[in-house]
Amino acid sequence: METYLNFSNANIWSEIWPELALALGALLILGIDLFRKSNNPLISTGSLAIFFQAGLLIFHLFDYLAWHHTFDRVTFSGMLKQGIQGDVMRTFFLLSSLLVSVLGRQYLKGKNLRSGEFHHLTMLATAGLMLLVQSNHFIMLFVALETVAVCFYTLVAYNRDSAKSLEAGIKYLIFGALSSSLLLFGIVLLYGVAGNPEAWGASYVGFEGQDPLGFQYLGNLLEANPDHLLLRAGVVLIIAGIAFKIGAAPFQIWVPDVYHGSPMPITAFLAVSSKAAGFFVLLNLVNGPFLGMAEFLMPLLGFVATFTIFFGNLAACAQKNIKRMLGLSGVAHAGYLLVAVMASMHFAGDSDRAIWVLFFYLFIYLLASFAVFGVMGVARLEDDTEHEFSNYEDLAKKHPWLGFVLIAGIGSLAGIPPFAGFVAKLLLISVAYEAKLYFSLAAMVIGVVISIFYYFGWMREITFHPKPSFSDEENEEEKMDPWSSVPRMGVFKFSMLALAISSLVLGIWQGPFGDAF
Amino acid sequence: MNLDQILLLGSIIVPAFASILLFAGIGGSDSFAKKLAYIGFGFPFIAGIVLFLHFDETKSGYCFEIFHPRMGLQELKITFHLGLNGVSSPLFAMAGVVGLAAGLTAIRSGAERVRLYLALLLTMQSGLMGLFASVDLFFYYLFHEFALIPTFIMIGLWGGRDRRSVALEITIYLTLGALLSLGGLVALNVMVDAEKFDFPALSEALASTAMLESTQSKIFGLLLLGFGILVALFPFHTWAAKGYEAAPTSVSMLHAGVLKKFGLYGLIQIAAPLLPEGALAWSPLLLWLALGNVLIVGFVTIAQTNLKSMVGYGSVMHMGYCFLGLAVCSSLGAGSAVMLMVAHGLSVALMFLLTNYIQKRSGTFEMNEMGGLATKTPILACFFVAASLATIGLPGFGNFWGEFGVFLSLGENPDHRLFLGLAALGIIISAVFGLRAVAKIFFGTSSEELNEYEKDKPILDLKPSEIIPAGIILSALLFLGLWPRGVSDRIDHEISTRYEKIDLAALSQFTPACCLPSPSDVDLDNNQSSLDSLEKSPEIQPISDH
Amino acid sequence: METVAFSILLLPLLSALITLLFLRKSGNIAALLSVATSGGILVFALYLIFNGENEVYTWQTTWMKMSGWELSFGFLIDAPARLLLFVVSFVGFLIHVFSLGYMADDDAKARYFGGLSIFMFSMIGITLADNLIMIFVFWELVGFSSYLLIAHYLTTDEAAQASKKAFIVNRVGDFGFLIGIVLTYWAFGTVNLLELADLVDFDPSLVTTFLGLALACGFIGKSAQFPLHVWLPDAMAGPTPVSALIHAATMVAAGIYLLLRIDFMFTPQSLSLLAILGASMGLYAGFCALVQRDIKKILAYSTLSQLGYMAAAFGLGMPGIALFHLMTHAFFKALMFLGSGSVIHACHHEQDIFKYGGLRKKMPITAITFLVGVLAISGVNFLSGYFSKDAILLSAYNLNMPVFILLYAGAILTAIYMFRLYFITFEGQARSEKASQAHENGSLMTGPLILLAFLSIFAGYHSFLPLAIVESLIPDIERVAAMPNHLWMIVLGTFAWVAGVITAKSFYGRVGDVDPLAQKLPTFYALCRSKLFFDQIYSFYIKQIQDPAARFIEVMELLFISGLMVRGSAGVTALFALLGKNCYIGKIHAYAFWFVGGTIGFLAYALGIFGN
Repeated sequence: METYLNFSNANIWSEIWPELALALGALLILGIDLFRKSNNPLISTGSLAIFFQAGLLIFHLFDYLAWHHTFDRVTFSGMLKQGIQGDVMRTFFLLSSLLVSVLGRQYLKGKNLRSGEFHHLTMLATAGLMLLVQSNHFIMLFVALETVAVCFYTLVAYNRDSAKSLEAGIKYLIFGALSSSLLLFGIVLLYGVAGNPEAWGASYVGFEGQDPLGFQYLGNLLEANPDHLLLRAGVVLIIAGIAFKIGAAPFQIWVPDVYHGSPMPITAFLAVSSKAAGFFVLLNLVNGPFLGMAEFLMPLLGFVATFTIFFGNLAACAQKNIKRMLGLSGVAHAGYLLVAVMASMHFAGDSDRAIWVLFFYLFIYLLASFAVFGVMGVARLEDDTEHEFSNYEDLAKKHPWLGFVLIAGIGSLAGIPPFAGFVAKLLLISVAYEAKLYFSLAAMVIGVVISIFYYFGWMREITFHPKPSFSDEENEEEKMDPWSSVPRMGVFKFSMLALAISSLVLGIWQGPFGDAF
Repeated sequence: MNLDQILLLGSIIVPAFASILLFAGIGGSDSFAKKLAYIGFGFPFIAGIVLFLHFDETKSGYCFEIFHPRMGLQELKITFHLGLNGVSSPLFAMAGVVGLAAGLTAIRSGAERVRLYLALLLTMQSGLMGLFASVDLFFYYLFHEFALIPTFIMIGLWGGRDRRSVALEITIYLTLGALLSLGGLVALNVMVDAEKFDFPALSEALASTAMLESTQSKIFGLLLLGFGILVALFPFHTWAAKGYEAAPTSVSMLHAGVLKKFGLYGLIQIAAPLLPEGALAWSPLLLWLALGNVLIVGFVTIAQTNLKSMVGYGSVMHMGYCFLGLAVCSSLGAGSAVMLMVAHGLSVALMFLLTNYIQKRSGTFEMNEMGGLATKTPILACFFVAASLATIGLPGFGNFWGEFGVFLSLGENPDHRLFLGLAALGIIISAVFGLRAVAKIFFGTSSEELNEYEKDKPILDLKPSEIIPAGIILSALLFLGLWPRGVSDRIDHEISTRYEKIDLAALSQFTPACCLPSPSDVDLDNNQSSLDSLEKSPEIQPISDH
Repeated sequence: METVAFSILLLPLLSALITLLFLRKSGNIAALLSVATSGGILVFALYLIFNGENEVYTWQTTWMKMSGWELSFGFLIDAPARLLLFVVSFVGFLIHVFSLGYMADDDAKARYFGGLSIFMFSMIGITLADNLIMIFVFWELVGFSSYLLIAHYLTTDEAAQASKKAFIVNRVGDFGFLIGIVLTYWAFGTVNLLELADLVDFDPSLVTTFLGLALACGFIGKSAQFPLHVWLPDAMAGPTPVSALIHAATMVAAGIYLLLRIDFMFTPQSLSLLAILGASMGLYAGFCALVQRDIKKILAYSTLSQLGYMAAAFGLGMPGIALFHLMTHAFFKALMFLGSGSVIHACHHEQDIFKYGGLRKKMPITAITFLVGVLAISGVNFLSGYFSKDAILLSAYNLNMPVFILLYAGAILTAIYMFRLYFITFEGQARSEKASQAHENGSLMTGPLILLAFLSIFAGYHSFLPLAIVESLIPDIERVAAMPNHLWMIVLGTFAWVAGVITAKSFYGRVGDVDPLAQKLPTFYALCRSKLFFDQIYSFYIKQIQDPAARFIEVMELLFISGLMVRGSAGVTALFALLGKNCYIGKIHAYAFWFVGGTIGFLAYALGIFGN
């Protein structure tokens, strides 16, 4: 009895009810999928997942708005830390996994793939992500990260019929493992030093019984001796591990291949959620434990950001395949976001503004990306990994609403007014300017100008009349129209339009989102 | 919220709403779309004229102000703030006039997928009205960017020769300019801590805490580069002629006539008054670049044989005068530049419109394949002669006052006299290409190609539906030419208050040639009194104290 | 008073507007309207002249204001203004009437008369303007209307070319004029003529030679003086009444009027330069006129030479005399142009004098009036030309000998080529069937001729003319009257025209259809025909310098700006893009190396290899 009380007091389970609910829901779906007739199901797991997650999202928002935690709470004896930023990110992940399910339901129609596992894994991954952003301890961080990673390995290779999907799965697995090992090694180095500082010539801080992997303690340690080589090595290795997640150069190389192969909704999931998680972790670290090493990390991150921006944009220009192109443009966006991270480091004391800008950017990026990938998911191609520019000829004329959604998404990604992406870029520029990151700023401007080439090159295919093709008739016959099966009004179309319109409205009127938390 | 404010807001909302309706596909028929477009283009026109007449010239600052503090990013002190001042009100009216003309042309153009065409054009129009109506710098920029995607799509769908590549190229070029100027604005926003991000607040804040000369020149340089690209300042002008040649007529009219004024408006109305020392630091370079616009682009224009590209290059050339007016860094130069902007917008739009009419009749833009049209289409010839003489800067049309004022301002500073001499050559250059075009197209005997073309398609004179848009613009030009005070007074009132600082700074840089009493001081009866007035003449005060 | 001035100014504009808007199709009504307008102008002008009580009348209102620069729209009606107003309105009216007959069978009457009205508007504007900028405004407008009227026969290529040439060459002159105005404003702080005059005699040192010459550029362009004279002969492509009104009587004379308005702005150097310029023009144009075959071209060149005389008179410091000659010249040159017009009309637009002949019997009125004009211009004693011209010669003789020599030679030449024209056209036998079928024109055309002939005879007796008109001439005429050796000058003058007549008679008494001079002195003839190669030089400039330069600059722009700058940057981007693309060979090993490299790089940074 006594012990139970201590246990329950130390661990406030109610704080992580969304994660628990999500995990339970995932299991539920798996169960239902197990025990029902696969042909003409009573209720499709897809709609169930959507319904469930939508409800969860709403509840969580209520919870958030009702309680409105403004203070940070360390729970589970230092393993987790809830706070306003964490709550915002949890909302983010819930929203994105809801959209993934929506896309997935649309995508899995007419494919002989079971839908149960798909949603199950999606929700599990999301639960892992939500824990990841609350982790206050390197063990917690690593475990959560691996949970997510394992789910993703499976999801990327989900489309068993396509060789490309499997190849992507393999690649993701290998490089994920590689990056995890780097991360782990970094953690170990820190642990080694933190466990017994004097042994490694580091000045001792804190007190007995301090958890050597807790962010609090490590923060003090790094601040005490910022130019300790082993600590530095550990830090850069951890950052390298995260750089893989966010697809920052020089660990961006896997991105296009994996995006190319994986199923469309999962591409979106990777592009949005996993990247966002990586960024939040990075943000947490550089503003928490690694803050002591800010001036050591600044140049490194600056170089990484610039390199990422240029590499992503330039490589994207030359791509014919749209999924690869989007992957590389995602790399470029990672570069822009890194600039925001640096800015947050620059305002060491009150980094809220920069962090808020980062969140704003992430949300806008979510809206735009899901709009784009959603429309791409509609296309029916013989091999749905091969999205060429030519598949989009004259889309706006054939299906105006698809065209509108796509243009809104592209415009927002490109940061063209009046779409929301512009406001995000504007905030980013102003924050970077305040942080005096002129060099990265210049890189950003050039990058955006280059990006216009491929974004509008795509838009050109969508809106303009197709170039007169000199192919003869029967060639025309066999060439199937990828836009044969366009969904009627339903959850999918509704959410797509909602995404497009919201990214249009947010571009002109930001309302309550217009000022930092 | 009184009627004027409703008109001001409506001039932005109505076209935008109309375009949304068209996009959403309300009311399927094209005839309905056209009716809607009439409203969408007519309202800004009426609003522009009414507000132009209602404008209160005596009170300085902004009229018809609308202010919403909660709309916009509080983070960046952005607020939704509309209003017109002496500089923007004529430009606002001009945007309305040109917009109506362009809209009528588009409605009658008989393009396929006319709904989409009108919808995009209306989006552009609402942006244009908003751009001149907004006091807040962010919205001023945002409204300008409304035009980016519509222009891209319209060039691509209804454009002319090699439209696919041109559309992409000018979009990239313009985005570069836009981002650079955005950087400048952000720098302004960050560097000056005003409570709002609009001109009055910024100038107020700057008045209390002056900015370093080096910072000023950095920010001004950024703005100059960005806006310069958008206004096709030499050597960043190549996109303009190309784009206008490829774009459909209405787009060329709006883009060359109105949208292009965005950059200069920003420089004259915002950048120079806020950053006087920056402006002075950049003026020597700017003078040379503007001269490049006038002379080099002028010669390029002479070499054109394609009518539409000639008009495009010509418009770029005349923007050089506006830049000269700015580069002089005096209220006279800036005010004249604004006058020229208004007139230039009208005349260029008219030229593109007539170019379209000519092409409809002769089936080509090649001037060497035309000739002798005047006998077949006297009214068109009359309009074209008037338009080209207006662009040449003939008195009686608005352009003359602007150009003359710019020349006058160039004469003030002895160091600028050289530029005066060189820039004035422009009046000969533009006469050469303008009259050549007239002679080639309308005079003489018609060429074989034209005769061939005429066989299957008889050449008729302008229809009333074609006369109306051209007539509207031409009458506006004549009003400007015959009664310049109609706009010059309000411009003068606003500019001379905004440029006090810069005038003093510029004056203190050189000893003005004019050390004589201004005519008002001279007593014509006896020279003794004018001798006295010599001492208390206003011009020499700044020197004596510096 | 200003209402009258305004109505004079706006009446023609109004009629032009009405013509443009409503009367495009109905030419006859437009013609009548325009003639009525010019009649109204004449009436108002006379009212203005004779109610002025011979005082300087000024009135002004602000036209435009821009930060200290205030431009006023104002009238300055003083003696010279009255004189020119009289000349313009009177000659203008006669020529309108003449046009009714001459253009009777033209199919674009409305355009023609509308253009005339616009011209009257802008010319009167110049006459009444009280400041330089306003003068410049109307200056450009007369250029525009002359452009319009030269291009009247717009289907013909020479009309198209001539109109363009006229406007552009005038623009070249205006370029200098404009700069002059700007510098004047900044030097004096005003452009108002009276205030300028006041400031100048308050401090004469303000006037610089450069300023005066810059302003004089306007005169050189508009009055077709050396070296911008090339446009006037080509301008004869327009209808003959237009040549009479614009290119003989009034517009080209406006240049002299401008000089008169700003005579205080000239230093002695610039004055003497103008004198030499004018005198040499007088001689040069004479030689050119001597060998022309086109009747209108001959008259055009004689106009040039007479303008040269006026310029010389002005240069000699005798503005009044220049104005005097302007007036008399306006009458007799308008007379001769209209006479030539009547001849051309009678001969169905045949303009080659060697195709005429024996017209005196067929069209006596024209012939006699024309003869009066010829006598007047050659300075036959006691006709109008005699007084004004000999006044110029006399003052030149007393003030500046070289100028006198040039002018005197010019006088002899004038007599020669004028009588050449007369003899070949009206004496002898008809040399073409057009000429043989010619007959006298209606009273609409002969009436103006007679009136002008009357004036050409008696306009010289300034003391008989109403003082309100000739007031401005008196002082200078008295100065000339006070000069020595009048008698000697009478002898010289008489000798000049007598010698001219004799030479002309001996040469051109009876001719075939080739110029006898071409047979007797071929080299001299060729030299005169070439007009000292001015046209060639100009066309060489346009064809060999301006257009190639334009093309060259265009190519350079294409090459360097849109090529090297724009395309170049795009190319560089594309290059790097391909580089980036080629990183993706899809092999896991290759990708692994990126990771390895990245890790090593990071660690190296951590260990401070990169010197941090």
